[in-house]
Amino acid sequence: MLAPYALGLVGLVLVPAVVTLAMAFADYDLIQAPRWIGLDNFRELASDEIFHAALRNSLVFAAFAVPARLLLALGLALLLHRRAAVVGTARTTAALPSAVPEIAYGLLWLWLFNPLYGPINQLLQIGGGNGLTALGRTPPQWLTDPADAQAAIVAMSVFTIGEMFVILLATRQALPPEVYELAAIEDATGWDVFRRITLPLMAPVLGLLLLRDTILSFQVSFVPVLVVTEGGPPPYGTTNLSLFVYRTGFEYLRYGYAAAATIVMLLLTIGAVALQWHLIRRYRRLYGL
Amino acid sequence: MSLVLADVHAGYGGHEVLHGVDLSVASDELLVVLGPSGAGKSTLLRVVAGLEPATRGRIVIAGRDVTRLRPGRRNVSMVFQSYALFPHLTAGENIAFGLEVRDMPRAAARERARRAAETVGCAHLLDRRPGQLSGGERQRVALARALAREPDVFLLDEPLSNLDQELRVETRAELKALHAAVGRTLVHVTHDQTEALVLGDRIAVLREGRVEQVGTPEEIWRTPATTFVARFVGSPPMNLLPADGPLRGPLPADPAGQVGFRPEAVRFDDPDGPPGTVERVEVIGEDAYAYLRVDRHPVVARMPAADRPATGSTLPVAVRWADAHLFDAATGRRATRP
Repeated sequence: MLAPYALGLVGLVLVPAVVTLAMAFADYDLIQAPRWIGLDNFRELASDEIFHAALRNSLVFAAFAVPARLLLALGLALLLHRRAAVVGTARTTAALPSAVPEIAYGLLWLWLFNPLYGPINQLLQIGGGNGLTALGRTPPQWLTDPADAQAAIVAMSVFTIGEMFVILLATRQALPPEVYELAAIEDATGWDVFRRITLPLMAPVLGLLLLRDTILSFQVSFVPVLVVTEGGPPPYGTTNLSLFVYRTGFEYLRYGYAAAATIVMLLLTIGAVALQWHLIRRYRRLYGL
Repeated sequence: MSLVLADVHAGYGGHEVLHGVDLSVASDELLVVLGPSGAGKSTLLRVVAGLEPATRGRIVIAGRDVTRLRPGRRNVSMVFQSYALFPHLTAGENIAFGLEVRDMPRAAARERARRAAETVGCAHLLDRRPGQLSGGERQRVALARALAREPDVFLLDEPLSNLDQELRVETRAELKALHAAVGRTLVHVTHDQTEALVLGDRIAVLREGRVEQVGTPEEIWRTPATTFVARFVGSPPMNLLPADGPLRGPLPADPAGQVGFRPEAVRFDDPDGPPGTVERVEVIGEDAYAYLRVDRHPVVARMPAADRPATGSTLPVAVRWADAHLFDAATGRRATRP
């Protein structure tokens, strides 16, 4: 029963992982035989400006996108956990963007972000004149200004939270209603209920989603960056680690160098996860969960 | 009167559960609401607490009309069947919760919580979390939490039903003593008639969203107002036979009447009584219950286990008529005895 899964695990995960690890210490371009070069790849990464930009962009993305995605998913779950008139439609709407194929999703945003005829900037220009916003400012140059382009990538990511939303919705619905009824009898305010009851009771799941989304953050930003900004604005406005690895490996055929960058990515992820795991453990001990 | 319900109707989604309940509870009284499941007992409690709206009628607590007030403004506290303790808070934090969210300073709230815990005997558990407590201990913490805020009315929704038999009997007695010590209005919901008879200053018997009878345990037992109360309170339930049936005493043999008598009132010492066939005998320690059939009517009799008849035997059946009741067969209401 387990054989197909084990086969997949070995063939698609374990073997590539071991090969990647080995290649990180080699020079390989698909044509000549791999050459063992020790830590040279890592030394080059340390002084590579493009890699630094990619690293910075990935960290900025994670720092903004992960909390924003989690908070938005939590907010929607708390807003839509009750039964009410339009809640069903609203839940579907919240989950739907995650079901759109990534490339199509990217192409859609390419149109949404178009500075001239894209609906986002059209909306922002309502009430303003001469192509300015109502506040008299130039609308964001989504795809040509580096900071605006970064914001665009984060904005794209906060709508694909369907899975997180569904998990948090289920978690909230599984909380015992009597606990909330008791809080109502004790006249707890909405803020007290959220802070003293909902948040602590949902914290284990929120912690888990935080870990998972941090791990995923290096991956979810790949397609948007590839399709919408192509790593730009030039030179490397939104180039992130996954795009760096992709280009270095599959466009410049520097497989060893790309593998070394992958290892750095992996170490970063492990570091972030270890830190969060530590914090979550401390929290759980605090509440004896 | 500390709690008054006047013509209270309530229901969910077009289905009415309470059909005009009138009740008043004195300020130091322990009222037990007794009824089978589905009678609307919990709904009644939840309507008083404000967790469900009353679709009609008025609820008055300590002289204030609270019908339209939200739960937090009614000054009641509630013990849920599941206790509803916060799993992430210690027992002490659970007890102090209501005080702290009402902005009492933390130190003062903790002190009140400790005193409430001492009153119910769980002061040694304050630093533990619900997950580390037994069912009985959780029940105490829930009780202490209700006590800490000193509300006008305590509402207890089957608080003993999750305890095992021995603990239930023990806690029942403690609850009665606690109520005597605290001296406040307490409404206790249960489906357990023994619990109701032991605990209640008065009992309100609820059936399908209507109050069948309100009275002291003695009144409920001695003069049940309806055949429902007569049969629901008492185990095995009261025997009910047509008034013109095989067992006729000094009561009028009205074909529209029903006679009721408890198993204790059945005698076998009258040789002129109609014959009853013993179909089955249950022995419960010192007591025995004989299930007889008298001219196709089932009759249960209680006797000392030593005096029990053999299954299949036939005995002359008679009734101690001083302990018999007469009901109207059509309405089920108690008929006045001539």
